[in-house]
Amino acid sequence: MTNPQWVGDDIDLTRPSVSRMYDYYLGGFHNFGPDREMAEKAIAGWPELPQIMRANRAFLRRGVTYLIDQGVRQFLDIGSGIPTVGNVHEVAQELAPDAKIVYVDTDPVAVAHSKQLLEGNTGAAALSGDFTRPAELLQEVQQLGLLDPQKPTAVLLNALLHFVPDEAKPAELIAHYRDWSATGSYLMISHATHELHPTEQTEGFKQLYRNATSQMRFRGRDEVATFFEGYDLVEPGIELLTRWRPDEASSTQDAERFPGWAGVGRKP
Amino acid sequence: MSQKRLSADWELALRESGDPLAGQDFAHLAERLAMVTLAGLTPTADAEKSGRRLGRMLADAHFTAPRAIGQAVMVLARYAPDVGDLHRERQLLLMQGGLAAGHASAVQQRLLTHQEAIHQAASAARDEVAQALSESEARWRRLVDQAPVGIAIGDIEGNILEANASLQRMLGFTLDDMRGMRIEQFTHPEDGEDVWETYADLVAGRSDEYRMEKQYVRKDGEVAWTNLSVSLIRDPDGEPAFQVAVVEDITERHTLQEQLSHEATHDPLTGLPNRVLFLRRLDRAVADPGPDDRVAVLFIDLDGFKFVNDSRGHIVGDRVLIAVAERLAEAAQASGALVARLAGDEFVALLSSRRGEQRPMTVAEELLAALKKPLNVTGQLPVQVGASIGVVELAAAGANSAEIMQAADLALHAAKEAGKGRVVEHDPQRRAGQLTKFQVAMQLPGLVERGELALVYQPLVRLDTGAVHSVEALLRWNHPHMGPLSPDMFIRIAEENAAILPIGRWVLDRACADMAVSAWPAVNINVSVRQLYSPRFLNDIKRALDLAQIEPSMLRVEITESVVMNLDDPEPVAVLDTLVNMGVRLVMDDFGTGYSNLAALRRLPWHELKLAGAFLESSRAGQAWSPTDQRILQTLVELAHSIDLLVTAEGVETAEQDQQVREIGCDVGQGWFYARPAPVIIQPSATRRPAAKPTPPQARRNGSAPNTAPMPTIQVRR
Repeated sequence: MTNPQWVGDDIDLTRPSVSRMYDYYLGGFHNFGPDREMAEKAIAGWPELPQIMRANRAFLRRGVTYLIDQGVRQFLDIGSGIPTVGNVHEVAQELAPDAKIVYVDTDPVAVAHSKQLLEGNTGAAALSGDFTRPAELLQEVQQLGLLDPQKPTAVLLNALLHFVPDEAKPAELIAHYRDWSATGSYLMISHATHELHPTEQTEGFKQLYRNATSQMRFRGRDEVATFFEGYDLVEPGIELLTRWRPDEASSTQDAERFPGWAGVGRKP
Repeated sequence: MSQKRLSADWELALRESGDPLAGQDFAHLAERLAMVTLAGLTPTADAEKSGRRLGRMLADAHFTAPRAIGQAVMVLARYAPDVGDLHRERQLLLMQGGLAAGHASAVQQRLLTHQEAIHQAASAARDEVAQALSESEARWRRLVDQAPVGIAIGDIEGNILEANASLQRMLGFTLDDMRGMRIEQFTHPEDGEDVWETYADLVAGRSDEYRMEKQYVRKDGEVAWTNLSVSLIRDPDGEPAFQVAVVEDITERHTLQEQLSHEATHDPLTGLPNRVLFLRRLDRAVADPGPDDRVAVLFIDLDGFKFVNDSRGHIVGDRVLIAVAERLAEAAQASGALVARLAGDEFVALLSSRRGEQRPMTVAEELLAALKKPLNVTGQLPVQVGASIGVVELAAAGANSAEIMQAADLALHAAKEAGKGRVVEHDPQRRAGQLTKFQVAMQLPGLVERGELALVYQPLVRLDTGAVHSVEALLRWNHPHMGPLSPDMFIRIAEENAAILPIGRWVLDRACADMAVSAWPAVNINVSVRQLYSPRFLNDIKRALDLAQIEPSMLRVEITESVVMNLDDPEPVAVLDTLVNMGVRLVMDDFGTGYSNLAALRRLPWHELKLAGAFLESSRAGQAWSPTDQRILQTLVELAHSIDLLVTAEGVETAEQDQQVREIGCDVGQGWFYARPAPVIIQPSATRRPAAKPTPPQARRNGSAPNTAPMPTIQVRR
């Protein structure tokens, strides 16, 4: 857990990092031996993993596009990871050059890397922060001055919440961000689920992540729905990743192969 | 195969392996890929070079995953059936080779760039952490240095490694001083053994922290009191590595505490230890004694101090107490006795010693002797106060503080009873027959209701005719366990707590009633000052006289001289005036004991005067009065006669004394020589006077020589 007010976490590159594994799944080279080793183990147990990641990224792309269409120009992407190839700010700023994006991650390497990549981009910034400590995180965001809390902001929690245990009370944490954001703001979630796969597979996956910087917690559709309390879900509600507002570039074929729930809600 | 189909094939491959978020136009890229493919397959083209270009284009567009190159090679392979001739087939192979080589080369470049980027990021992040750490360390150091508590770090061998500014200030040593010092050097002479045992336990790893109050000697030699708390820091293997001390300066608090504790345990007036400290010391003396240890308590009570206080005021009284305290403390010094002030004019001394070392009775006599010399009191003539001392001495083993105090109280009581100015050692045999002041106070309420009071009467005899002049009603407490108790045992206590009022009322009623059925010419009762202040007093007198149907002149109210002397308030004087107007007669009792103020005789219409029994004390011991004493007494009597007062001599026990009081001109005598006090004898015909003669009938009847040792009851006059 990063605490910018006090001593920073030491950086342990011998432990696999969720964000660098994610990078590896997508064919990136921003990773280290331990990340690759564990990512390969994951793929061995679940060969479709890279495709699932791609499906998640495709949802992210469609979601951001949708939000830009709704007039949202501010994005708070928490758990953004390594901004490998293209990212939210690229999608958003291509459609709306005035879009502002703040990336937040706990992984200091990911944050440092994001800062490198965003150098010169006045509309995007990265900072170190922890989703489970909303007060501190939002204070950092405030200090950054890039986002105007009076204007609608989309909070993106993509492939993040399944790393947040129940003990951390994710619904209550989300409420903090909801209360902080202005009317007309959005919440976007994608979340891994066990509901479409045999228990052995998801259990194996959980075991695997036990050694990584974050543990996994698969959740069902109903549980994911509770995260949208205080938001109005937009069409089509909570859907499988590939079935959420598919466009011409995506296929809804074999949607069950991509075991994640996706949804977007609007704060009325 | 048409360009369009090739283009579509490329697009499919791109979609299969590309990153959906990269935001690229797959169709456009596919079209360019198809064009490059076709151009490379023309007969003169460098197919391998075109292949390399394709590979590079794919890699640059992020198609870097292993499956991407596979997909690309497959696109070219799927195109092969449409090629047709050998040359172009060869061109296609060259292109595939080039594609693989170009892609691999571009991916390699990219990989190196990415790796460098991520390493840079990692190192940047590390720098940031290091920076944060160093800032945090600097902040920490500032905090430690500015902390109001002293903080020190030492190694396990006891060398001091670090010490913050507060600690340096607290102890007066600089950091360099302290770095050259070992923890053991901070021993204070008053450290208990446990201090360094506790320390040894910590550095040996047997404990992880300790807290204690500890004093240090500062560099300048002063003492600093601290709240010390030391924690052990272990290395990763759990072995003791360092110790961290947090030291809070509590010198001021400690000084204040000592002051407060001194105040709580010392008498503010005299500076002597108070009851709390005294009892604590006594408890300690009996708590863990050796077999030969003795403990003695000397209970000291000033004689006549109340009179000093009443006659000269509290300020002088307080000064007298201060002087007495000094005198006692000084006198006790040689014996090592602890002198404390318990309350009012009560002092106490504690003596603890080994068997045979000290004689508490000797110490007590020394204390008494010290008080014999007049006290110098600021702004006053030298004052003399006497004292009575009760002594108890016993083996410390098996003794109990409360019982010792009770025994000392009893001994003091005995000393007072034996005539003041004496030392009496506690006699365990006597104890059963005595009551403590506390016990008396507890039993006083309800005394009248319980019917435990009785009156006896002692005649006052006219010295010229031998006729009974009057009788004095004397109070007795028929205690259910102790038998008859004289008023000395309880009247003073009753006066202190107002129990005297119902007792006084009972005496009045009883005496008047007895008067009515006897042949006495009159009855004397003693009235206390509290009764004079009681608003009911006059009514009580009237009612008692009415009930008994006796003349007011038959009632004589005795008031002691010391009380009269202090009647500064107009109310009691008015009460006495009214009594006299009613016809009651007024007798001044105990005349000559205190600072006889002859002027006081003028303030009230006295009828009679009773010379204090104390005047007869010296003659009782067999000695005649000196010519001076004789002359003074004679003058007093003459003076009384000159203002028409009748003079009574009290405490007459022998024929010699009878002769003496006659010589100085007394009118009336009272004492065993004439008659012992006796219960009322009801006269069947409540008429005439008994055949009282100059020779005491009772003394004769008993056949005992009147010059035997005086019994306490002789002194009784209430």
